[in-house]
Amino acid sequence: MSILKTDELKKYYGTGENQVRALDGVSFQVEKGEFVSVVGTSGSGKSTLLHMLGGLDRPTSGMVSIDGQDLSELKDDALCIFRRRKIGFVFQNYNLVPSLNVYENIVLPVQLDGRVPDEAFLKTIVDTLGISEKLNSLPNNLSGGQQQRVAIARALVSKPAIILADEPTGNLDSRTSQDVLGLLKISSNKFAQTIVMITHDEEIAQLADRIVRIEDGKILARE
Amino acid sequence: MKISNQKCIRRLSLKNMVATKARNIIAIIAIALTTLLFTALFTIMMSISKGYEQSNFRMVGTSSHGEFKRLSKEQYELLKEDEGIEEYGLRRIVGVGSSQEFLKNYTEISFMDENTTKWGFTTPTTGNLPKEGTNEAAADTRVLKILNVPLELGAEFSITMDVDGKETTESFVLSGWWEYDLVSPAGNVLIPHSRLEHIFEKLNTEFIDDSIGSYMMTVMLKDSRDIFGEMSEILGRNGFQAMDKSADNYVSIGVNWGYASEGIFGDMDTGTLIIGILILTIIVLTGYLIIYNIFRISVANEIRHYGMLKTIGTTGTQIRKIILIQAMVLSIVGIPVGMLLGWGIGGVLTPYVIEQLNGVMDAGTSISPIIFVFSTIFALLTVLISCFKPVKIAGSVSPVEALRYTEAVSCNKTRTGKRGTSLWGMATANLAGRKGRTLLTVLSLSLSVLLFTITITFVNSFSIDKYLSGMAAADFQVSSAEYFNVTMGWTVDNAMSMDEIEQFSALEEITDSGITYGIDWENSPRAFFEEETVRARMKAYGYDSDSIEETMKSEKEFAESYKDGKYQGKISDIVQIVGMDPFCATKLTVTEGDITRIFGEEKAIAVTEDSLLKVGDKLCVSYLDKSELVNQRTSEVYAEYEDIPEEEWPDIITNEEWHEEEYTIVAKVAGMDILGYRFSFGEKLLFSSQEMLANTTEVAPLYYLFDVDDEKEAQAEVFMAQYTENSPLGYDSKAVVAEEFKSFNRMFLVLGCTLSFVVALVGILNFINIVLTGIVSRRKEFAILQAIGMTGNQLCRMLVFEGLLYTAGASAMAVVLNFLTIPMGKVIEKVFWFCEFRYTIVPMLISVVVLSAIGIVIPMITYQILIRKSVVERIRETE
Repeated sequence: MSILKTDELKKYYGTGENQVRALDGVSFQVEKGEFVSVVGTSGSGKSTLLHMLGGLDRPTSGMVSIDGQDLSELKDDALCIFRRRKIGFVFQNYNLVPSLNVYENIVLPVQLDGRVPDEAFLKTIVDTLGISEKLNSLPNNLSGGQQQRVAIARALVSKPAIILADEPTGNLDSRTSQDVLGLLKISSNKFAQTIVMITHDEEIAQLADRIVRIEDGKILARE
Repeated sequence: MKISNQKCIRRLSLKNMVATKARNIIAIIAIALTTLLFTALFTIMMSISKGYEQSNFRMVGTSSHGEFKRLSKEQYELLKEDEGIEEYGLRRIVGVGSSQEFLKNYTEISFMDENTTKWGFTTPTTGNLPKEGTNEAAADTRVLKILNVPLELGAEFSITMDVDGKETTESFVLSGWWEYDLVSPAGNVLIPHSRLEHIFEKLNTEFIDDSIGSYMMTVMLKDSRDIFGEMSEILGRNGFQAMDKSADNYVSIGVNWGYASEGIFGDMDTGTLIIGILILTIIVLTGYLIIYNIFRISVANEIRHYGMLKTIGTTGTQIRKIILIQAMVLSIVGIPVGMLLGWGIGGVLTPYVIEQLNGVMDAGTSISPIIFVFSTIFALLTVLISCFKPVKIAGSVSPVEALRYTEAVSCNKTRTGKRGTSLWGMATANLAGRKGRTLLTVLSLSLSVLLFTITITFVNSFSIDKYLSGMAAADFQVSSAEYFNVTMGWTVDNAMSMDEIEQFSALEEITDSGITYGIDWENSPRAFFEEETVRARMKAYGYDSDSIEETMKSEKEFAESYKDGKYQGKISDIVQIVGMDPFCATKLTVTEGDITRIFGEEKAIAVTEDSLLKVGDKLCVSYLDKSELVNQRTSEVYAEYEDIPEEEWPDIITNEEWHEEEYTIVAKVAGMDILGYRFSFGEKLLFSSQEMLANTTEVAPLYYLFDVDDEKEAQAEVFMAQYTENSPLGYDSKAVVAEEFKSFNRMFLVLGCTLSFVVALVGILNFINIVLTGIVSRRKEFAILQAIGMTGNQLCRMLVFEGLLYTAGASAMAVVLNFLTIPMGKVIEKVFWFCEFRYTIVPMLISVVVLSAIGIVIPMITYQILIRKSVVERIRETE
């Protein structure tokens, strides 16, 4: 069963001669529990693809469906609510809220949804990610690797249909990168979590179950 | 090696400003508002000072710097060419009014040229100065009134005058008039120069008394510093001098003391000074709170930019300079705008203040450059103080840290105790994380609430009943206009007559009435006091120690010669006595003893509340019955020294006859400042009118006091207003005092509310700035929040919560500060005796409602601006 499905997804910026075809007909699917990496050079359109998948931006044409829901059918606020229930994000620069502590950052999406976080599940996650000692810390006092683990925990906690990771190791040194990726992979397996990771780094991409290559807004090959 | 990089730094600074448009606008408004407050304050102060000076000039009779007196024609022609004289005018007196009407109204008939009339406040407001070669004359309204001349151009009238000892009656045609000024030293009739010469010719005057006929040259110098020195120098250059009266080349100089006085600032009491300093401090604080906040936030937001500049080799000093240049550019725009607005507002507010000072003042808004110089200095000072710390932060930032720098997020390493968060929690955390700016904003918002509350509480505490009972003794108090005029003062000569009192007492509205009598100080009795008592009193009146010692010495001598040394060792001092009818005495507040005893059989008097004498003390009062000057040699008796040939002065002795009465002090009273002379000398003693009239001559009614039927009060008020308008009498009444009270009230309300309004404006501006920059600098953070599932609605609510937290904080702070001011109530009651401290919560409630509305609306508007950009755009924005 495919959790994520795109069909002839297109995103054009500008018009006429200045038109940039960031995405030019992308169709692919991701199955439940799969860990997929999308690889491409800078300007290949991979970030635009991620924004489309996450419902952060609307395509020029084509369709994105997550967990059977066509995103284009949703209005802004509905899309937002859908996003916090079904999609988890991990960004290159962690993007934690600096004024909230680690625990508050992690449970934020759940609480924004007006639900009570599943404490047992939460404990498993923070134990797995090794940040149970840091729950009261403020983000600025954590190392980059620790911050990214918090971001992963935040993405996992609402048990989303899919996690979208945008260059999650872009700001980390190679050893920390390996740690974080390992945790991402373990999470994928342990919690049967579907993950789509965007990266320009071949080596990192290799850790995924499957690699999708993108170039000039088009998917090149599948492995 | 000196490298010229000024240009480069300036360019960097200005280019950088282009990128911070919103900050610039807010900073300019902030600087303008701060300057506005300073300028308004200084304008009011300078306008009052100018009014004060102007009223001094009116008392002197001229605004010219000085006058060369009693010149001959030749001297006048010579002096007027001197380069030290900027402008000059000519005045020649023909004579003084000598008929009966002028007895009480000293009036000069003279020629004045245009400059002299301009400076002397004698320019006709209706008609013109008399034309040369005609029989025209212009005069002030009082002269015309006492001569019964109708106020019509072309009216004919004649004046009998004394021209150097010769009396003549001259007739004139009225060419113009101006309003007589109560404070001016003399009445004036102006005639053409041709007429003056004609009169002198006709009377064959030889000018023995050289103030008649001589040339008086009024002058304006280059400036008013050292007028006497400047004028002496002018004389010196032309072969004259002003020091040796007996020399032939002596010329007398008159200096306008209106310029010498230190002005109102010299006379300002400590209370006014403290209020002034307090307001200045509030303005500096207000300005500091916002300008500091603006620059701090701006520096924090651009810290990466400064870090980057440092990595490429910009020094800390240069970065400091970049920011300071920006501050100066913003000041150059903001300060003039603020000055212009402030000057306008100050001009509007000044009349409210002047109304309170005294009736003599009447001046437009001052345009003294001092206002603008001071405002600029204070505004720049505020800007510089405000920039001090932000500039330091920017200058000392390390380039590596700059990249990691997140402004002032709370220094706590952890935050515990909270399990999860809500929108409120996030809002709180956001504010708590930026303690410094939050505190400043809250402070600056609460400052206006506090000012507003204090103003309203203060005005609300003014008690009209207390004021009336203190300021208006009875329904009506009638006396000569001079009695009510602090600069003139009551004398027996200007007192109202018994005839006039009889006219009033015939009024049917009157329910009860009484007369209080007074006496001139020259004729006042004396009493013998202990030395310390007199010393203390003289000190209180401001005598210097030299004159106190001198008085003590001569008074001791007097005591020895008086009645065979009966009071040897004691000091005699004049006593200021009033004699009251019983009705008047009932209007006093008795603080000790029994006032009715002074109307009984015993010899009893009352003293004032603050007197050093005690109830039960005995006091001997000595009345001077006769004083004459006797020539020991010839036994000739004279009334005054003036009548005695100078060579006989050594033979003259003073022959005085005194009689004494011993009185018991039976009461102490308050309220004599209203029911006494309204000016002070010596110990104040209160007699029954009978006792006073029995012991003194040369007595006249000080005032006539009466109550009317309550229902007929308004009627009587109208009558009194009409009656006094065309007579030399004046009056005080409850209605007049109530009007004074209202205008006093109004002044505080208008000033206080204006001040709080502008301070509130500054506070709100500060708030807008912090909300705006808070949202703009966190736009990426918000984009992430939206990415992980915060809806627009939730975000907007969070922002509103933040806004509400600020205003709640400001309200709480204002309440706390306000509590601290409650003890001030006691002080207020003491300083402003007519205050009855009444605390009111209403202004606080109004402020809270207004603040809350602002706290909701501003974040909502800012949110609308924020969401113009999509989430992705905001996430992608490089920092």
